[in-house]
Amino acid sequence: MRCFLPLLIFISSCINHQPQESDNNFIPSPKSELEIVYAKGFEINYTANHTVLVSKSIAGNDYFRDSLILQHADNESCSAFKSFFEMPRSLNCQSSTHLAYIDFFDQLGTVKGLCGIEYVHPGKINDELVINGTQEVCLGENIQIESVLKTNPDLFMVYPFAISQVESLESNGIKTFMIAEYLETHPLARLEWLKLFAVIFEQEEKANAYFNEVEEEYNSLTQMEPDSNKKFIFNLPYGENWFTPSANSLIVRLLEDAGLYYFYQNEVGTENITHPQEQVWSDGTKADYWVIIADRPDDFSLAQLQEENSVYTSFKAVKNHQVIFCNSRTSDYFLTGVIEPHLMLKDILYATHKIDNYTPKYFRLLK
Amino acid sequence: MLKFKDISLSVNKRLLFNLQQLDISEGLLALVGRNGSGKSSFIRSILNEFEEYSGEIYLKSVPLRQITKSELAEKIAVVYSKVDVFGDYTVEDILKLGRLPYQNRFAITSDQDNEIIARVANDLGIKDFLSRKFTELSDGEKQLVMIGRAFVQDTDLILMDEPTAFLDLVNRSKLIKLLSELAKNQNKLILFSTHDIDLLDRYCSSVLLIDNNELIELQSNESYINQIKSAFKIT
Amino acid sequence: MNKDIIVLIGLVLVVFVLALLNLTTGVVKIPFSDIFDVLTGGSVENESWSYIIENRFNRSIVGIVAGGGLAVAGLLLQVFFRNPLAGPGVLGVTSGASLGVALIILGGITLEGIAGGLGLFTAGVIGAFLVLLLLLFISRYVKNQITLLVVGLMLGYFVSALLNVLFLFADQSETREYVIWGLGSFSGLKNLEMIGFVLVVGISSFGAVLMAKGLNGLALGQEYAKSLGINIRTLRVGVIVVTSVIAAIVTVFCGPISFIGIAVPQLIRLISTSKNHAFLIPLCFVGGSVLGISSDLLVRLSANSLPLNTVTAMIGAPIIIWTIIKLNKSFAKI
Repeated sequence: MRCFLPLLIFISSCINHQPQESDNNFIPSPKSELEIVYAKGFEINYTANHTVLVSKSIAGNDYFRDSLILQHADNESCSAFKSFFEMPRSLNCQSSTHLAYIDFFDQLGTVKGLCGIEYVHPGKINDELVINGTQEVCLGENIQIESVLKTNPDLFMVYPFAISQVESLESNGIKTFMIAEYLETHPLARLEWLKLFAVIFEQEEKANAYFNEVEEEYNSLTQMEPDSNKKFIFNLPYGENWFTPSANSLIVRLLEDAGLYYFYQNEVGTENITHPQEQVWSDGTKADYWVIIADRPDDFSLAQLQEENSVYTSFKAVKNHQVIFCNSRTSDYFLTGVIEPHLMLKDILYATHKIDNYTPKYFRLLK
Repeated sequence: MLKFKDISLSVNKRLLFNLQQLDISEGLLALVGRNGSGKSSFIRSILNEFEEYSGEIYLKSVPLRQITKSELAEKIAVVYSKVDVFGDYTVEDILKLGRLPYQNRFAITSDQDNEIIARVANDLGIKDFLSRKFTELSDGEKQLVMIGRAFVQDTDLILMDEPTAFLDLVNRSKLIKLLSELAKNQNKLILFSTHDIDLLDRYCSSVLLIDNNELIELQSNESYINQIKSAFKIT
Repeated sequence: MNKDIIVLIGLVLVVFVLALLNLTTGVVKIPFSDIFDVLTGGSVENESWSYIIENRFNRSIVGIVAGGGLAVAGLLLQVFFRNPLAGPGVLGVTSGASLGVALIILGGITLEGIAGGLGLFTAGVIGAFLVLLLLLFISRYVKNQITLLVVGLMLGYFVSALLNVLFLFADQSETREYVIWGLGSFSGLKNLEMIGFVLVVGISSFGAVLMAKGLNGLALGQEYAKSLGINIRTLRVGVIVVTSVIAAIVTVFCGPISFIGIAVPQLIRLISTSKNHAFLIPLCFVGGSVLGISSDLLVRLSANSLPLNTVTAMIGAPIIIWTIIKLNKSFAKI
C-alpha cells in the first residue's frame, strides 16, 4: 500500500492549488451530482473544477485507497498522474464483472483489452467483444504489459490485490484505477458502482434512474427477518475444504434478504471462510437449503450432484430437493447478475416458494 | 577341471586368440598378456557372459554352454579388481552374499552358511574384522574380503580378473602367496589374470600367456618370467 | 535380525495406534461407540457420521498403503540405481505418472467411475514406465550417479513445463481439478477403489519381496550379482514394473507425493541390522506406512489447511538431510 502515499499527496496538492475563496464563488458542476447510499467502497467528490473518484477498502479488508481526477475545465492545471481532461475513452479491464457496468451504458466499444476473455461465455456481451476486437491482455492471472501497451488504454481497471502488477503498469505510463465492487456487503451497494461508471461515461441520469428503480423493487421484495428454520449452507468443496462466504458478504446478505438464515451466521470475516469437509458434512444433514454457484454442465441435475460425492445424499437439502443452484457456466451471474440484484432476489424467493408465476434467471431449484 | 577345444575368440569380428587344446586342473594359474590381448574376454567367456567364440569349453566334462547361470554360480566364483559396495555393509554381510546361490528367494541364512563363513574367515585370517564396516577397510583388506566371499561361494573354480591391480607391492605378494596355499590345500583351481610377472615363478603351478593371437601354456620346467620376457621381446 | 523383528513389530504397533487416532479425532467429535458401530456395519443417529467415519477409515488405509508402497518403490530404485538419493519423486517417475494423469484430466477426456480410475491408472503407469526406460537408457551410458539424479530432476521440470503449456489450453474446471490433485490427498477413495488400490500396491510390494535375493546381490554391483546367479534382466524388468505400478497408482489416486520414497529407505537402512531385502522391504513398507498415516493425521489436525504434499515435505526433507550427513561416510561417492 506504500505506493498510494505519493498519490494521496498529489491529490491533496491538486486540491490545495485551489484558491481558498473558491468556496465562496461556487460554480455548480455541469453534471447532476450523484449521491451514494449503500456503497462503502467508493466516493464521488465534487469540487468546482474536478470530480474525484475515490475507491477504497472497506473496514476489515487490506487497506487501499485510489483516486481518479476528472477535470471539468482545462484552465486549472493539476500535476497528478491520474487526472483526465477528457473522459477516458479506451479501457482495459482486469475483471469481466466490470463489463456489466460498462455494457449498461452501451460502452463496450471502449473496452480494448480484457483479462480472461475465454471465460466470458457466449452471449450478447461476448458477441460484442468479438465484434469490437477486444484483445486478451493476460496470461493466466498475469497482466501482459506488452499486450496492454498494444491496446494503449487511457485507463486500466484493476483489482486492488495485484499491487506489483499495478506498479509495473504505471511505470509503463498506463493509468490504473482500482475497482473492488465485490468487497461490498450489500447487493445494492455492488449495483451502486454503476454510478462510478456513470461519471466516467457521463450518463449520470440513466444510472440514477435505473438504480432507484432496482432499489425500490429490491427493498419491496426484502423479507423482514431471516427465518432460523430456513438455514442454508453454501457452495461446494475445493479439495478437502469448503470455502464459504463470510456472514457479512453480499451474497449472504442477498439470501438473508430472501428470508434464509446462514448456517455460519456467526462467522464474520472479510472474504471466504474455510471449513473442513467433515464439518460441512455434519452440518449438511441439518441445513434446510444448500445454495451452490458452480461451473457445471448445462443440464446439471440433483442426481449428478449426488454422484460427485455420495455423502450429499445424507444432506437435508438434497433429501428435500431444496438445492438452489446457479450455473456460472451458462448464466450471467458474474456479468449482468452484478446489476440485477432484484432478479437474483426474485429467483431465490421463487425457489423458496415465496412467489409464483415467475421465470428465474440465475438461480433454480436442482431437479 | 577346465578343458578348451578349438577355441577361437574374437571381439567385434577382430580375432583375439586361438586355442587348440588345453586341459587345466587344480592349482594357482596365472593368465598373462598385454592390454587388449583378451584376458578379460577369456575370463568372461568361462563365466558364460561372453559368447563370441567358436569351439567348446568344458567344465568337468560338461560343455559350459549347457550350464545355466544359476547352476554356474555354484561352480564358479569370481573376484574383480575393484568392488563398489552400495550400502553400509559389514565384512560379515559381504561374506554372506557368497551363499546367495544356495539360498531360496527370501535369502535366509542357514546354520550351514554361518559355518562356512566362519571357516573361510579363519582360513583367510579375517575373522577379527568380521564386524567391521567394509567401506572403512584398506584396499588390501577389501580385496581379501572379496576373495573370502569367493571362497564362501564354495566352488571348485575361482576366476580373478586382475585381483591385485589396486594393491601395493607388499599386499600383492602376500595375496598371491595366500592364494597359492589355499589352492593347494583346498584342491581348487584359481585362475587369475595379472600384469605382475615377478611373483609367478615362486607361486604359480602354471602360467597361460596370450601373445600373437595365441593362448599357450608356458613350460613349467623353465622360468615363467624369462619365457614371458622373450615372448614380449624384453631383455 | 532379531532386533529387526522387534523394530518391525514396533512399527506395526505405531501404525495401528496412529490409525486409531486418525479414526477418532477430527473437527466433528464422534463418540468411540458410534465409530465402532459404524465400522461393524451398524447405524448411527447422525447419517453424515457414517460417511465421515468411512472417509476417515478409507483415508487411513490409503495413507498406510500408499506410504508403504512409495517407500518400497524408493528402496528398489535406490538399490537398483545404486543411489541413496533415488526415489520415485527425484528420478522423475512420479512426474511421468503426473504427465499421464494431466494429459487425461487437462486433455478433457472425461471417463466416468471405474473406467475413469482405470484410464488414469493406465496413463499414469505408461508415463512412469517411459521415464524409467529413459533413465535405464541413460544409466547405461552415464555411470555417474549425480548425472542420473540431475536427469531425473530435469525430467520433473520438463514435465511441469509441458503441464504449463497444457494449462493454457485447459478450461477453468479442468485446471482446478488438476491443481487440487496436485496438492495431494489420501482422501476420496470409495470402498471399491480402496480395495483395488490396496490389492495393487500389496501385490506389487509382495512382488518386491520375491526379488529379495536379486536385490541382495546388487549390493556388489551388476557384475558380481551375475556371478552369483542373479538374472539381471529379469530383475530389471521386475524393478521397473513394481516401481512404476506403485508410483503410478499412488500418484493417480493421491497426487504426486514427494519425500516418503527417499526418506524412509534411508531411515530403515540406518536402524536395521539385516541387509536382506526380504526383511528390508517389509520394514520399509511399515516405515512408509508410519510416515503416510502420520502425514494424514497432521493434515487433518490442521483442519485440512496444510495440503498433504506440504506435510510430507516438512517431515521428509529434514530426514533426508539428516541421513545424507550421517551416511556421508559410507556413501562418500554417490
